[in-house]
Amino acid sequence: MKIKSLIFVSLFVLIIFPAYGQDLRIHKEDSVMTNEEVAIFEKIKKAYPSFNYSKEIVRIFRVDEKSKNKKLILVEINFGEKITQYYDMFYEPDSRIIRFKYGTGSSYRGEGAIIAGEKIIINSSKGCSQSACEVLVTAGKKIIIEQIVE
Amino acid sequence: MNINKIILIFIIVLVSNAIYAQDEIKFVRVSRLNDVERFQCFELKKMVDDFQYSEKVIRYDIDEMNEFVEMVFEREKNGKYFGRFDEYSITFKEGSDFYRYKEVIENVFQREGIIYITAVGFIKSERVCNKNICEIKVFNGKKLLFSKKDN
Repeated sequence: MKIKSLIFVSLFVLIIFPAYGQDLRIHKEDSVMTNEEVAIFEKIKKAYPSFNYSKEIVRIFRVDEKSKNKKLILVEINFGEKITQYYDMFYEPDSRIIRFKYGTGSSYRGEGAIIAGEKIIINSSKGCSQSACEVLVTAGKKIIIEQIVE
Repeated sequence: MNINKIILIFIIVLVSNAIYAQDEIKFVRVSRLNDVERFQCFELKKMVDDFQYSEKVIRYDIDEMNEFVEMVFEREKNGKYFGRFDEYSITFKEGSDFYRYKEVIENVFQREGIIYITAVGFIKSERVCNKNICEIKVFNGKKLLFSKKDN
């Protein structure tokens, strides 16, 4: 009887406690950009012709298991197998800012962010080689900040 | 039900819960700033007058190389963040020097930008809208280097 009671209590604790703090989880959905999203990225490409993106994206949701609320928190561009170097590009919903990070090991790496305004596109980036980093902020072809850090 | 069956159920529940728990911890967890992030935020707070940050964060493990971090801010008694904002957020990816911030007062004010720490200070780029008039600004430290109407 004592053992049975112990098992019953243990079962109860095991069922209740793992649920604590685990109400949130991530849900990923493969998708494609909407026309509005494509328009923003095309605007960036017009200002920076070397800018590359993919219309294939992954929408990342935060799901609350208790309330069943599902909130979009992040959109990641899915480059698939098209590029060989590490490339991470993402944006948040209702945001005009697209962030990116790239690298080919330790020899060449960088990160940055693009603000896609109505008329003005600002690109802020930090690129590093093995010997130095360059901080660059531009508005299209206009250089606003250029700093070399050894 | 005999004791063996109960023990079997007990083990199954134990194992499945352990697997489930590991899976969830891997994806989303409420946490605090790590030492590097805390140092960066502390430095930013010293340099940028209106920079507010939170120790409490939610970490999303997007994949093995990506951890997206969202600061958690509490609303004040009037339902606003810092007494005046309807929306206030700061997000970043772990290991990044770039912090994105957004402040919104509905129908009145909206500011969204990127701030990052350099070896000698910080650089801030932002789009600010007061009612219907929007501007894009770039600062090197507190010095305004670029300002242009954007609508």
